[in-house]
Amino acid sequence: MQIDEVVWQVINRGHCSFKIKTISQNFCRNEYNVTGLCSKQSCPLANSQYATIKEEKGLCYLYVKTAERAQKPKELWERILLSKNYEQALSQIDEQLKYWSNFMIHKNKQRLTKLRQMLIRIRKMRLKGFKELIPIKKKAERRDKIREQKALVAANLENAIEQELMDRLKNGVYNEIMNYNSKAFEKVVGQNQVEDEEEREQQELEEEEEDYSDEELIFDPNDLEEDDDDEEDQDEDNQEDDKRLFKKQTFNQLRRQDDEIKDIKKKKTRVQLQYEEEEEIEDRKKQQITF
Amino acid sequence: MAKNKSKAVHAIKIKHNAPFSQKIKKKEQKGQKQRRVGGFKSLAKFDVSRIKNKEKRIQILERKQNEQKKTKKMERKEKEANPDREKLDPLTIDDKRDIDENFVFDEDDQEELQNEEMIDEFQNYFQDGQDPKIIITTSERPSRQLFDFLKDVKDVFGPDTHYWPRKQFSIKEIQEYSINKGYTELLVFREHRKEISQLIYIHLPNGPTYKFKLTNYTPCDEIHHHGRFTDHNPELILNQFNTKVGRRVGRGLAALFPSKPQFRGRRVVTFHNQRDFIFFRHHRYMFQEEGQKVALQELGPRFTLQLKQLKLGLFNDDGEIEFEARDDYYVKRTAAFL
Repeated sequence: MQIDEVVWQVINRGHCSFKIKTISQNFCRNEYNVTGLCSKQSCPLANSQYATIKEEKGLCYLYVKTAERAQKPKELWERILLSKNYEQALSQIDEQLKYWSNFMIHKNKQRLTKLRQMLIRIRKMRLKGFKELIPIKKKAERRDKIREQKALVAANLENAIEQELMDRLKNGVYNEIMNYNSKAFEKVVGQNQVEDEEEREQQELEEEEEDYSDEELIFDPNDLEEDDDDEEDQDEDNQEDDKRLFKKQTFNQLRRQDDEIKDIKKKKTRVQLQYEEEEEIEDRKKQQITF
Repeated sequence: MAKNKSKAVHAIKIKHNAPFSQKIKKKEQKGQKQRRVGGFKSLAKFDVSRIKNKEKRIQILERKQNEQKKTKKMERKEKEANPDREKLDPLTIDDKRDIDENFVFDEDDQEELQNEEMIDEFQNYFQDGQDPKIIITTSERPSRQLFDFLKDVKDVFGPDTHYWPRKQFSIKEIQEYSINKGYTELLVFREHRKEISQLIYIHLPNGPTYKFKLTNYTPCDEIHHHGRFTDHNPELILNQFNTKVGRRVGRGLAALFPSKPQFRGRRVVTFHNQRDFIFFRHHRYMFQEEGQKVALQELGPRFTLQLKQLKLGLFNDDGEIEFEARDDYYVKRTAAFL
């Protein structure tokens, strides 16, 4: 005979292999449990009239157990497919579990909604794509790190880059711009018919060199702030040994050769020249007058 | 009969075990070189693992190793004694590399290669001269360090690069949207524990996807005496991309930059491949002493790339995987596939 009361007391007080005790709550591991908690109302073993909802391959089924079939464990659970429409499924539950306790009906509907939400989420994730988790292999990482350092040393990067650039210069890639290779440069000049621009460039370069010397003589307060302090100090030290100093100097020169700054300075110097000349003339005149 | 007997006696030679010193003398007379070490027979070609007894084995191993050391020393002395000997360059790992059929020796010779590259995914760039339009994104929820990296890197590529925040879009969606807006390249930078770790480079309309591992990033500020770069289109140097796969990678990286370099800006970007590590450097150069010397000033960041996967097609498509760096590929020290 199936007496639920007795079963419950034995299981609860004694030992239930599906029971999981935690600090705050007791859980039930039985696959047919509606709520997942261990209590008298929701224990599938201690209730001869019971119903759950289970999900298989994206479809929800209602499993029902009645006291009449308690003697035939194979046919104990009746399996009913619920419709894919949510509202129809709910009405199906109401129909199948008519006149059952409210607790049973309510919990089954709750379980149905939970399972359906889970299925929706699964479908979304399948469409979007999972993030691939790649394991980090310590040995391989370590190995790669060391090999990278050695490869860096073997690569000799600066030399490689410099060689490549020198090769390009020799092959004449830069001939329209740089005029180191004078023969090649003249060739290019002869080929292109845009001679005027290039002649102007040449003249500008020559002018730059002349102005350069004048600039050094003339005291320019703006210059002091930018460069000159460093330059004067470094000229005294060993230029050749210190590579970075060498670089810094060159890029100071570069800056002067840049177009805009060059123009501004040109203007400045010319203006100053004129000013000084005028002053001198006036002074001389004054002097002449006095004497 | 007696005569015959006497002959027989003389004919047979009787061997005696001559003492050691006599043997040496004979050999010297013959003119052979003597390397007498330790007074025993040389163990150089003796297979020590044949000996089953552990104690004895260890003993003989020690002896063998000592002998090897001494012969090495003697050889060295001989070498140094001869000043006229040939000086050979030391062998490096790069020299010991196996040469595959995939190896490309001279670009000019390989007609097949050239024909393939004409019909490449990058033909728009290399033949028509179409400038790239790049979109940069990150992994989800990027950190401050990633943003610092992006600040450094974004300006290195051409003027037409844009950053868009990631915001829960999947890469599939981002691909779609960027194709619709006319972008040609998609770069996704990923990080791990606040350090930049990966780069996924997708060439957009149909293009191949590259998955790189990014390591050893030094930002601009940490480079000693770095400069600030201008807007000029940089020149490219692609060094040592030797195999077919390597050439694919090189072309892909080249397609990130505007197609016509402005030499006036004197700005170089190099991708140097050494043993499958691609080093990225960004310099400004100047010729000195009438074209005899080059001076370089480093601009921009430094980092190294390692190719982990090359796949045809876009990111999510089931394209043919041209190259995938599996674990067993790089066990050998001499292995290199680019």
